[in-house]
Amino acid sequence: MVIHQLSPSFVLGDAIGNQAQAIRSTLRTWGITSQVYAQYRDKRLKDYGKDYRKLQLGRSAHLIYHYSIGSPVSQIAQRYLDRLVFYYHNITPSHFLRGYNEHLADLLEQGRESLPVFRHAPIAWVDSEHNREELLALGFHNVRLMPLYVDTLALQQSAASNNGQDVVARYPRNTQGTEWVNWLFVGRIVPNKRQDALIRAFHYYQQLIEPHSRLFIVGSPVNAPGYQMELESLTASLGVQNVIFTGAPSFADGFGGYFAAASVFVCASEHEGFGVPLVEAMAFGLPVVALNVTGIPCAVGKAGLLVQDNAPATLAEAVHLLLSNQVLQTHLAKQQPAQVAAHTAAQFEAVLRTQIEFLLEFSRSS
Amino acid sequence: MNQDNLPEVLEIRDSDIDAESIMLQIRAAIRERRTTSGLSDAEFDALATGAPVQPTLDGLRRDLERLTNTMRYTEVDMLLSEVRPSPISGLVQRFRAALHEVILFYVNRLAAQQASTNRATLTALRKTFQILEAQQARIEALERAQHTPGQTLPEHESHSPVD
Repeated sequence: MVIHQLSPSFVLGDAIGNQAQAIRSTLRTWGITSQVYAQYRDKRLKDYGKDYRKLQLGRSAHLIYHYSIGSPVSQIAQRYLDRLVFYYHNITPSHFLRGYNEHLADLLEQGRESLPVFRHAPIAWVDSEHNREELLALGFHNVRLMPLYVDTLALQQSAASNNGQDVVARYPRNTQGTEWVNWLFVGRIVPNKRQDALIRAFHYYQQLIEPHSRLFIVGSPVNAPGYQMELESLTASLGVQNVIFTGAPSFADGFGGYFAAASVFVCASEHEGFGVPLVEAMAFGLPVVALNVTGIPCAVGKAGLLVQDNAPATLAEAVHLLLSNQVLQTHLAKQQPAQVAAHTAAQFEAVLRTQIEFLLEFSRSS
Repeated sequence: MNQDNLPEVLEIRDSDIDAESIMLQIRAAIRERRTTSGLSDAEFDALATGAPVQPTLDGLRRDLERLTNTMRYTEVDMLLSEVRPSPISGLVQRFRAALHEVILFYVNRLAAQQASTNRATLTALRKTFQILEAQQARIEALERAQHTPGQTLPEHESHSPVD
């Protein structure tokens, strides 16, 4: 049996790349031949897949196509539309990237325009209810939930490593009797994630609520370097202190240490297909405050505080409310393990098995 | 529900959090913060709503300093790193060295052009900044003179202070 995957990119540390890797290794353990074909491949991966142009599928083989952006890879996927599993991870609205990365904005627009082409795929997978609703509205059939795998174990190990502990020691939450509140946000530095709104909210918090506070902005600016410059300029103009841009540390660099050092995870993002870092934060038992939009409520569930707008005062007061109200915090914390469990290796494998069985049954019957 | 007495009235009776109730509490906290912050209404609104920050000369000075530093980074390391001798063969090594020279030729030319453009842009920005500074000083002097009877207005400089 052969089930390959196709993706515009296959990159280390990226949510889709991680998912493709997890699917491939699980399928292989079940004796299924599986490879990832991509346009951009990350050579830091042990097995970094194959060039998408070399994909040739036999008559009985299946293809899982990870979709989040326009790409020449789409043309290959269309050749195999009759046995395609269209795996939708959502598409960032292009207007967020206009003025920052025109090429990326064009690809996003192209991705949105080409989306209806794939509604004839026999099966679609989604990683959140939000994405399911979008596909159903476009007339897709057999839209099934295939949650993202989140490697919380590797994250915990990263936090416990020397580099992770260095991060914790660098930003202690208690220095000589003074309590510090460390805000954390993890995600690429791109305008849809609204790190600017986060900085403004943190400014309000630091000015009016807790001066002993820090904000960690963890993520790569590579998709919109101009936006990071704007954020640094905004930070300087506001005079806000202790805003720390960490870049995108790997697990080996102690990425997990930022979760261990944090007091709260705050997300002002206005567009997420799902939002893996929200689950990662819950794996560390961090209180979560996030904007109630797109895929974010699917990731947070009942285990965090969802706010209706990302105005600085709203976010900052929500953080304060959550951190100062033990009853609310405990209640939400109790919901977190169930939310995280939906993304563990065991659950991922169980759901993948169900989905593959459905795929095989469906292809036999049709 | 008394919205101004927040923590005491917050009750969670089932697993579903009442988002609407929490929003009401947050709004009440914002109202309370407005009265206790010691800020004017305008200052508080700017902080609470994230109204765009009015650009200042200080902010522009910091931006220019940052630009100067960034430009320095682009000007260093213009040469590619040295190629390590290949153990495979001298022929491969000679080919790599020749290729390296070709790359250096084009990269260095492009880098020099870019650095030259950067310098010109920065110079223009610095001059603009100096003009703005001088104008700001004149505006402030005029404002002071306007509020001080009998004081003569400062001479207007008809030429740019940086010419």
